[in-house]
This record gives sequence, C-alpha cells and structure tokens, in this order.
Amino acid sequence: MATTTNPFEPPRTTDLDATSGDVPGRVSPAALRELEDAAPWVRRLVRLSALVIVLSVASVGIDLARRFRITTTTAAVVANIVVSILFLRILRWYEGASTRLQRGDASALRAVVDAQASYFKLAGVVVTLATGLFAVYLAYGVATGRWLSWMHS
Amino acid sequence: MDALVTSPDSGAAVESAPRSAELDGRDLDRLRAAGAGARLAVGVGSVGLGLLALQWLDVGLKNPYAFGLFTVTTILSGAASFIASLAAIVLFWAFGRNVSAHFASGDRALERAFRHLRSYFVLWTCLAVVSALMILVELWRAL
Repeated sequence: MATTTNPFEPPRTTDLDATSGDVPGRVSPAALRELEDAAPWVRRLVRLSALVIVLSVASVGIDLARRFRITTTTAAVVANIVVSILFLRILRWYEGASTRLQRGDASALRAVVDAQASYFKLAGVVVTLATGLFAVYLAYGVATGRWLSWMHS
Repeated sequence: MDALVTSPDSGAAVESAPRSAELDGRDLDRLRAAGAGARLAVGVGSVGLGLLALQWLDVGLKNPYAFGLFTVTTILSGAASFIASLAAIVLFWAFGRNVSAHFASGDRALERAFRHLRSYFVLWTCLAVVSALMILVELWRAL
C-alpha cells in the first residue's frame, strides 16, 4: 500500500479497501471448484434418473398389461415420467457444461448458469402446478367430507 | 471469454493455480432467474408439503389402519421422497438466499450457493438410488 504524508487522510484497512471478491459477477476460484466438484454427482444423477425412468416405464407397462385400465396411480406415474424426462434433458445439458468446466474450459460457466436457470425455472413451474392440483384435490375432498372432517367436529 | 488469470508460464502452474471467471450481464440475469426460480419453488413447495402432511395426518387420525393397505415399498418410497423434498426445500432456500446475497455483497455468497446446489445433487442422487431400488422390488414382486 502506498504511504502518504497527509495527516487528514482516513485510515486505510484491508476491510475498507475494495477487493475483487466484492464485485457481483466475479466467480471466485472456490466457487468454480464447487461447480466442478458437482460434475460427478450430476453425472451419477443423470444415469440414475434415466434408470428410474426406464424402470417406471416397465412398471407402467406391466400394470397396463395386467389390468387393461388406467388407475390414478398409473396416471401419477406417467406424469412423473414426463416431468422426469424434462428434468433429465436439463440435467444432461448441465452435466456436459460442468464436465467441460472441470476440464478447464472457463467458457462452459455460461452454459452451467444457463442450465441452472432452466432447472430452477422448471422446478418452480412443476412445484406450482403440482401444489395447485393437490390443493384443488384436497379442497374438493374437504368440501365433500372425505378429508379433514375431524376439523369440523 | 478467457477466465484464466494465472500466468501461463508453466503447465503445472496453470493446472494447480486458482483461477476465477467473470459473468457478464446476460449471465447475471440468468443467475438472478435461477435464484428467483429456487425461491418460487421453496415458497410454493412449503405449502404443498404442508398440505401433504395435513392429509397424512388426517388419514392417521381417522383411520390409522389405512396405511396398512400400502406396501412397505410404497410407504418407504413416500417417506424418503417427503424427507428428501423437505431437505431440498432447505437447500433451494439457501441457494436462492445466497444468490441474492451475491448481488448485494460479493462472491463468497456465490461459493455458498454453489455448495448448496452440489449438496442438492448429492441428495437427489441418493433419492434416485432409493427410488430405483423400490421400483425394482415392486417389479420383482409383479413378475
């Protein structure tokens, strides 16, 4: 730090001096390492999610072959499969970007952030839809006396 | 954009030395969108899980034996999903909060946000293992 002879200059401390870490948009080495460390977990999650989707499809196929009718459970599993495929597409994108980041390609950071935004946007939409549907189902059950009847007594 | 800030004098130095990167305006907007999505999922998801807990409480109070109609795998799978969803809500909340903090205070918060996201991926991988096992057991029974 440069010294000064001005007695009226305020004291300069490390805390008061601006550091590069205080700039929004700067991704520190530690933050980059966190993204790189997530890469193997995203890879495992992609593979396992694909396995769960395949197993779920097999389960629905066996169920339909036996009963020849679509139950509420079957419909829920099919909806779950569709939502899982949507998440899987984004996760594969995330996996590719985080793997490139792990190999030292800093330009992959943009793709990682893009994938994060898409993932959380989809999560927000799916959670909102699911909660809305469940709230309607529950409200209908309460109105018909099927659910929460003990609350009225 | 080349984010390497270390001197490329030697290959070993580039490999081991810390590096940082910059997000431009568009990337920052996407990061903001990620934080907003996470906060939306947390707010609505908390309500959803609360309603689900209320329904299970209702079944438990009115007819505890109704749970006996479900198979062990269904109950285990449901319980695992419920617990994992609760943990995911906490991690999403921490991610969203730290993304917001990044824009207010700096990049330490971004490191924490990415750490919570990594924890979420670990958690969801574990849930995927449990789900795969439960479906396999159900398939084994069905065949």
